[in-house]
Amino acid sequence: MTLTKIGTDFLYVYGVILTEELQYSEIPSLKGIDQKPIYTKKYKDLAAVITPVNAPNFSQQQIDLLVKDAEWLKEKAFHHHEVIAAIQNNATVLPLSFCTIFQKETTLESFLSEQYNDFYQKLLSLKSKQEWNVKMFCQTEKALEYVIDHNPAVLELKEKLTLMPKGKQFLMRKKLENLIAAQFEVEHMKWWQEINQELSSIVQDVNLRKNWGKEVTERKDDMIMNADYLVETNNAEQFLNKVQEIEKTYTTLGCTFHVTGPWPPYHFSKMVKET
Amino acid sequence: MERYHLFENKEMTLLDLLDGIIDTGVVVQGEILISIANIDLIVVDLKLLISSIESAFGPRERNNGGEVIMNGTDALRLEQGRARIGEISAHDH
Repeated sequence: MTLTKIGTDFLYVYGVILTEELQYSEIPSLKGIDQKPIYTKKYKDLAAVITPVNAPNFSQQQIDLLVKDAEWLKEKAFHHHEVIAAIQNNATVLPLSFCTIFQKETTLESFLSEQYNDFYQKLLSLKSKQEWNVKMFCQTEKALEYVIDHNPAVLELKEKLTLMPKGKQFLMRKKLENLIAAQFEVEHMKWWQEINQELSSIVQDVNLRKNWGKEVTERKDDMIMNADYLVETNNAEQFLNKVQEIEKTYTTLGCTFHVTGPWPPYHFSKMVKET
Repeated sequence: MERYHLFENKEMTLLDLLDGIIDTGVVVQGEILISIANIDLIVVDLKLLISSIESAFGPRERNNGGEVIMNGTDALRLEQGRARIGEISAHDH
């Protein structure tokens, strides 16, 4: 369906899809973010999935106020995701940021026209792929024990320590503590590399995110890895099995994995910002 | 392995969701006249879900874009926006 006239409404854009895939897919019959229909606006081989929104209610000023309202943010953020996830069931989608709004159809058109090649290439590269998030949690006590008992540098210093006179031992203890802390970090990095190495043949791309603190996770263990993986839809099962297999290796170190997905390719849709 | 489904627990995935959908980075031009634009999700060691919001675009007008509604930079703090990423009824595999 093409756009005819919207009156004074603004246009909220969820994402961009390939027109060719539109033929085979249904745009979700969900209501839009402002309770109006969701439809597409085509431009050559691209189609933007949009919904009209009341202009005064979705002005920049209004949105700046609304995002401070956690309930509003939560409800609308889930709505935004729900629509994109529904599109993703049938088509490749390049998700746009939450609350991407155009004032006029013509500005949306020139946006699609200016970004045409980038969007088109990006969509091709995202075809038949999904995003999965893997978080790794670690019981620090247990992992520290492992470092103390197995890390070569720590073992070496411990060995030296036993041969030292008592006075010097006391001084060297501090050094040992520092070494353990440093090697703990080194081990984490090693694990991250090993995990990626294991997954490299199955995944298309990796995005490392910040770890969240305990006050956010409300868990007793620490988050030591928060990574997104772009995976071929056909390989998703294999990917999950592999993560499960990798987890077994790390269970003895007090680590558990936490997987969510499939997500739309939120973290693989980023493009370099022009200034 | 704890495997979660997206809508199994909305509280659980809200932060992941916001992390994903806010400032996904595809909006690159001043063509977009309204946007939540670049909320920096600094969650690490902060009790805030969203610590600041800034205009990604700054003062900018485009000849073909009509009026620009927002100029400059705006910063705010969202005390109430803290997401709870709690222990949920996950099923182990």
